[in-house]
Amino acid sequence: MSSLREIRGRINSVKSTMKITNAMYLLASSKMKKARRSVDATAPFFDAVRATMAEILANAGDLSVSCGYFRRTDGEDKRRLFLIITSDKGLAGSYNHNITRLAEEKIALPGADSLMFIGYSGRNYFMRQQKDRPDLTMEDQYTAPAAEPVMWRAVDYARHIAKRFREKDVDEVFLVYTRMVNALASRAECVRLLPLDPGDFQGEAAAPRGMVYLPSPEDVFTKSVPNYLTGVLYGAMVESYAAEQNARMQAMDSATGNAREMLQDLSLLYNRVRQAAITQEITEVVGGAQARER
Amino acid sequence: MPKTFPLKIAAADRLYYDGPCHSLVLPCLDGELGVLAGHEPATIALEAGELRFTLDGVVQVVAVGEGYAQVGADGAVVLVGFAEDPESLDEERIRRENEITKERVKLRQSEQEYIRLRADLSRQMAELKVLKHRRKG
Repeated sequence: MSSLREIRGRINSVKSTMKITNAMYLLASSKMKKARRSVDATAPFFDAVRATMAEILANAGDLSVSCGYFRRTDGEDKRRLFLIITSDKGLAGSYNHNITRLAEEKIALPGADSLMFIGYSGRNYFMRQQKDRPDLTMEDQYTAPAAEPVMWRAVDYARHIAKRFREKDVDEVFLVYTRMVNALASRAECVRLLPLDPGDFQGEAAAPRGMVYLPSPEDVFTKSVPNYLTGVLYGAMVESYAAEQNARMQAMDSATGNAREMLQDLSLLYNRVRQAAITQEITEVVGGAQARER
Repeated sequence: MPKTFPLKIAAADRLYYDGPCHSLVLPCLDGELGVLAGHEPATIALEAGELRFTLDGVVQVVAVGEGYAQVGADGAVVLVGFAEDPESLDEERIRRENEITKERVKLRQSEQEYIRLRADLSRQMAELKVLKHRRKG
């Protein structure tokens, strides 16, 4: 049986670990609330951009030929660009694992792929993979931390993506991120950013009469695409961030629970060992006294 | 004095300006376009560039990103990727560089890199300080 000192040491170490996990739990929950607020604050801007794009699509007819953002290429060998959003650090349950697994599935399809990252966890994972997959390109200047989603980064990324697509460097752009299904559950998802799907802009086309588009509807539409992408990206960044914090909250909550259980077992063991030691001492004292009497 | 009309200049992360103005000059794809009160309803594609608006004879210049402006009976709304005071553009750029350097410091791989990044950081901090003083002075 382990000695009293050892057990006391273990109890203390579990206690301090529990303090850390509990603090991380509280931190994660307050960060999540903050991120939610920032996405609500920026929503009106992007709703307006999207509504205008929908209006143009509804009124100007088919832009699929004149506007470069609908271009499609057929065939197997597509050049794809992936933007993968993970967290910077672990200790968030299966959050990062789900994303990397989904991204890996998509990358396994034939075609030349380049990867952009938000969050170091994902980058580090695919850096290790790169040894076996020399056809993967990492766009290293487009690797950013996931901590605290900032708007200017979304702007920067969206412009880069739009430019790459417009200049026909890539045929398809995908975004791999985590979507919050509800307050408790989240799911890794892969959505196509470009080419645009006209279906995304349906159902909100109340066109004001007599509206003039200068110089042309296509130009207004084309100039709005980077801003639209910014909105989608920023939304995904915040959503992923919220999901990360949520996953961390759950992971830390169960870690705290486990620590509590362990403490209970350990203190029971501690008391037993102490009692056993006392009993043994008494027995020895009594035994010694009896021996002397005889 | 010409009539005023309400103007809103919104960037993705903030409302840059919300108030009345007498005239507005927009950076369009094919040159500049002026807007006065009572303009016909139009949606105008904007190039990244310089936007100017006048209120009581005072001209204000704004550096804007790509986007569009919507003009109608109820005023003008400008929706752009970014909107900055040209005076503070430098400051904004250095602040961003500064943030990126800070991120790199966290990720550093060697002592040598750390020393180099520290040097970058202190240079950026100094530049920011100078700019701030110049703006106040």
